[in-house]
Amino acid sequence: MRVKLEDVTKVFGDKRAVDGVTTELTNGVYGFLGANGSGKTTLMRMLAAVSRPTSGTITLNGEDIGKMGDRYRDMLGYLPQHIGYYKHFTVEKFLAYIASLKGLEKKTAAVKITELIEMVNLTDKRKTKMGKLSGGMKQRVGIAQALLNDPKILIVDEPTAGLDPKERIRFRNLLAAIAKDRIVLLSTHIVSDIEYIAKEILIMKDGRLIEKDTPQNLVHHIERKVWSVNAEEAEVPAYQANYKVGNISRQMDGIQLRIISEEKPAVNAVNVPVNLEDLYLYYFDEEVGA
Amino acid sequence: MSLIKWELVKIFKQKSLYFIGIFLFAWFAYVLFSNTSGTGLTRQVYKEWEGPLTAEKIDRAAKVNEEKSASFEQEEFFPDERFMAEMAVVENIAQSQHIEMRRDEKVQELNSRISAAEAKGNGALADRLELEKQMLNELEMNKIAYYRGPLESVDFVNVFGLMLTGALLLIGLAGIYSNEHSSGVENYILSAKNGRTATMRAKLAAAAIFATVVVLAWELFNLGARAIVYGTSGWDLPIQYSFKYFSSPYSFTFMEYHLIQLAIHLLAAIAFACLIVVVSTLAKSTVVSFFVSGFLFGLPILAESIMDLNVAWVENTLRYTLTNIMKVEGLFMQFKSVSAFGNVVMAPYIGVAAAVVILVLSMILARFLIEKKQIA
Repeated sequence: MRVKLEDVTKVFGDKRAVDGVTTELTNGVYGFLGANGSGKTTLMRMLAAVSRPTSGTITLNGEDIGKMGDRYRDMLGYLPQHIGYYKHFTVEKFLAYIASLKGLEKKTAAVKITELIEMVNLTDKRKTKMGKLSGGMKQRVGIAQALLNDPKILIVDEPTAGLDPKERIRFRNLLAAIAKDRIVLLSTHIVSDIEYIAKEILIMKDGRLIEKDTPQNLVHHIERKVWSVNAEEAEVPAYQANYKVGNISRQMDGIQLRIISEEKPAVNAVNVPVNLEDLYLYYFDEEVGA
Repeated sequence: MSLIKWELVKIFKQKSLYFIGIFLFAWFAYVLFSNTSGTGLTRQVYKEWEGPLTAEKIDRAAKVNEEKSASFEQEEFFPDERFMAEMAVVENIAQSQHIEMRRDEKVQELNSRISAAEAKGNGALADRLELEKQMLNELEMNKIAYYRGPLESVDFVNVFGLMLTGALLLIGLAGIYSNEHSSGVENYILSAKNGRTATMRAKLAAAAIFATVVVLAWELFNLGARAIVYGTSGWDLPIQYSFKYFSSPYSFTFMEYHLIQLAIHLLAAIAFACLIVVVSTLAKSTVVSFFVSGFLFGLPILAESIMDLNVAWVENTLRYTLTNIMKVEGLFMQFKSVSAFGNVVMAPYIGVAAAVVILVLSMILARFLIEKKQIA
């Protein structure tokens, strides 16, 4: 299976939310990394067929997904950024409704619902109304609904928001397990969500796709740009003002700073191994996620 | 089928529907049951006169009327309930004779107008007048019975029935799509295999079923409550016994007319339900959807109360709005028709055609909108 995006652009008024994205996706997990407002969600929506490009095309195995219509949506599982639900429906009933939207036979749906409720660890909440679930539980129902039709293309937008660390690990492992023979597109601003499971990472900034590569290669690009500096406490504000500073840790002999910089930031600075959080900081000058 | 079931579940799960429905039904029940004094005696008196209107009955009614009228001339005469009931019967018989007399006069007038129209070469007008004349000739006021039950049942459709249908459809359906947007479920719907065309078909079908349930519910109340209070007589009398249809040329019994009335009301209600679905698909908020659909429903009533209805085009346009088609009475109270392709088309047919056109256009538009729908 091959999803191809060619010069995909989405314009809202005078804002180009997605600007000329061209790329190709095959089976495996793809992580879309970007700050809020970078165009990830808009791109995800176009891939999920709930929105259409202003220009450009998205094709699946050479066929325009807009023209494929129901056939494309039949292969799709989509977990939007904000999980929607009917508060008076129980978990089981809500999933049965989504199964019906996805065209599953009643018997098949019943089996699949039981299986997925178990998988997302909500067996004891099966008869609980959606409105009474915690945020994390609702997110798990959202994940279950996306998997109901055993999708060939799974699109999950910020799937781990609201999940506790244990649930996030569980979800990451689940995605890794099911990604073998399908395309999984995962949008996040939390680096650790994709660090170990993504086949490739696509970095989006201001609506544009600025990088697309394996995590290893992306890290390699900034290999000599991450520094460790030992500093006095009084010097920290100056470093923060002039450099992108990642971790700040207090050591026995002062403060240790992790700095992303093209140039050596201090005489005593030494290059250190790069991780994806450094990569995120390199591209997005804002707080790094957990 | 399964999607329709889900849509119905969503509609009927709305608690506001039951609050408003119960309140309205309770109000109508109060109005009905608090206005029933003397009904039993009146029914008994009518029973004595019930049946075909023979010459003997007409003579007897004239005599009774004379005697009763004379009683009014006596000083300190206070009529009792039986007296008033008998007066009502003989007045009804007099009314039937008056309607027949008026019918004959109208037929004569139509004959002159037909001749005039033919003389001017206006064949279309002559055809319409001729049809009205034929219809009037079929009118017969040849029965008498107690008919308050059918009279009020027929009237219920125009006022309370319309109110119930309008209110419950607005409450039940305003959010049929806009709720999907506000709840965020729209994302799943639009990205699912059966989320667009099939779901919209299900929403339209559910809206039509809901409209049918609403109309059947109040009709059950309408017929049931009136049968308890007034009995079941009078359904075979001509509708001209109702003051509203005094000049109507349509030769229907109350029963026939009520069935036609319900069918037309239901058709228009289904068309209105589908129109609400369209508005709901366009609106992002259920409140907006409710008020826009409510405005469309109330506009003809508002226009009638503020505009000069002597203007023919205004009157004609308003007659064929969904709200007035749902009222039905405007299609049957007078003889209204147009000439189209050499045929005379009467107002009820135009009303039905207008409702069907709105229904079909709403369905096409709803389908178009859902296929083009995007989440911004």
